[in-house]
Amino acid sequence: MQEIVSEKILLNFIRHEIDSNQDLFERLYGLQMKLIAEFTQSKGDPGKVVVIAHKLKSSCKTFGAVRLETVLEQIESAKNSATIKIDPVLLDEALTLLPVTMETIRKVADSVFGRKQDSA
Amino acid sequence: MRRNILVADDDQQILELTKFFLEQAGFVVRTCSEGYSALQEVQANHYDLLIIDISMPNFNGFKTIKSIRAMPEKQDLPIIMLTGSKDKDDIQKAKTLQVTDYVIKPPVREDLLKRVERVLGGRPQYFEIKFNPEDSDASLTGEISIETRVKSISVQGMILTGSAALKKGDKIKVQKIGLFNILKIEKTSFTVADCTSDDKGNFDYFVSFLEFKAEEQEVIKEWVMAEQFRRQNPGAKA
Repeated sequence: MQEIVSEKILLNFIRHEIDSNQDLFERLYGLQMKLIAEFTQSKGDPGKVVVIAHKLKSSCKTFGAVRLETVLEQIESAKNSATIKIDPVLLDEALTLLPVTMETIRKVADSVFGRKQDSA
Repeated sequence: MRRNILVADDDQQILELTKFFLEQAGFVVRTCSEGYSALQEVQANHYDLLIIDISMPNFNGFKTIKSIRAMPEKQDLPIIMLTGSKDKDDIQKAKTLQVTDYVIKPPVREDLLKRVERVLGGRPQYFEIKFNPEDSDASLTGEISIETRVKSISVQGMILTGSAALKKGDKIKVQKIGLFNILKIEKTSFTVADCTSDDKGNFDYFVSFLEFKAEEQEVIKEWVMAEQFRRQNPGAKA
């Protein structure tokens, strides 16, 4: 099965793309958490779900969250049909993956920056 | 002089990341999160480049670009489109609106900077073609540029016509900026009198490499033919 977060992609992002800039990483991580909250709150509104799925997918790519990225891509593809209908199995999978993914990203980030005090 | 770049995207993460990459590279960056603000910014301030997301709510990227292109003084503003995918329709629409290049989201630093530098003329790409060295007399050296938007070919700012004489057997260097229509042929001369089989092949390759549209290719071919005629029939009127 596909890994939840590609450590290789995430470490490359932190170390080489953003030069281990912890402030920037925390801002991006915080924005991701905000988007996730919006996604969870909007689960009953397919129109909103596909829009947020699109944004989340992009940041999943950045963070190496490969499995979630795949699921969000499938959810987003619902926008191409006349009436947006989201497969409930996919939505459930995304909702389950979201916290696990963020936790994994946090752990990898902590291994680079050191444990973040307020995340304990 | 530091270059000013405006980045417009409704996705805050993309804005943060793009701003970081560009500022690290020495650019002065301003951001806005929707199309109409970008339009107002471009109207009010000088920018060397606009990087804009296409799918923004309300006033989207295409509407913004269209409004910018409608301003005579902003018709040449380089624009890089941020897009989630290589959607053919979007790319086609972008070409129509004279978008200079595009970047797939999320931006990757090296790719983004490479494209920005190319668009701003920092790191030009050269493509060299040799033409027939047996060609006849010659005359013109200088900077030749092809501006496909207005369908003109000029040397040192002077628009060439079919009677422009060009030097024999020389090389041309073509600078291609971005993916679309901004082209430059630099400090060289260009033999067109003997575009025989091989050279013709080169010429076709040159034209297709530069992604001229069909009608633009026709303009250039007509010009080449007129030049050939002039050389083969000195004194005759084309």
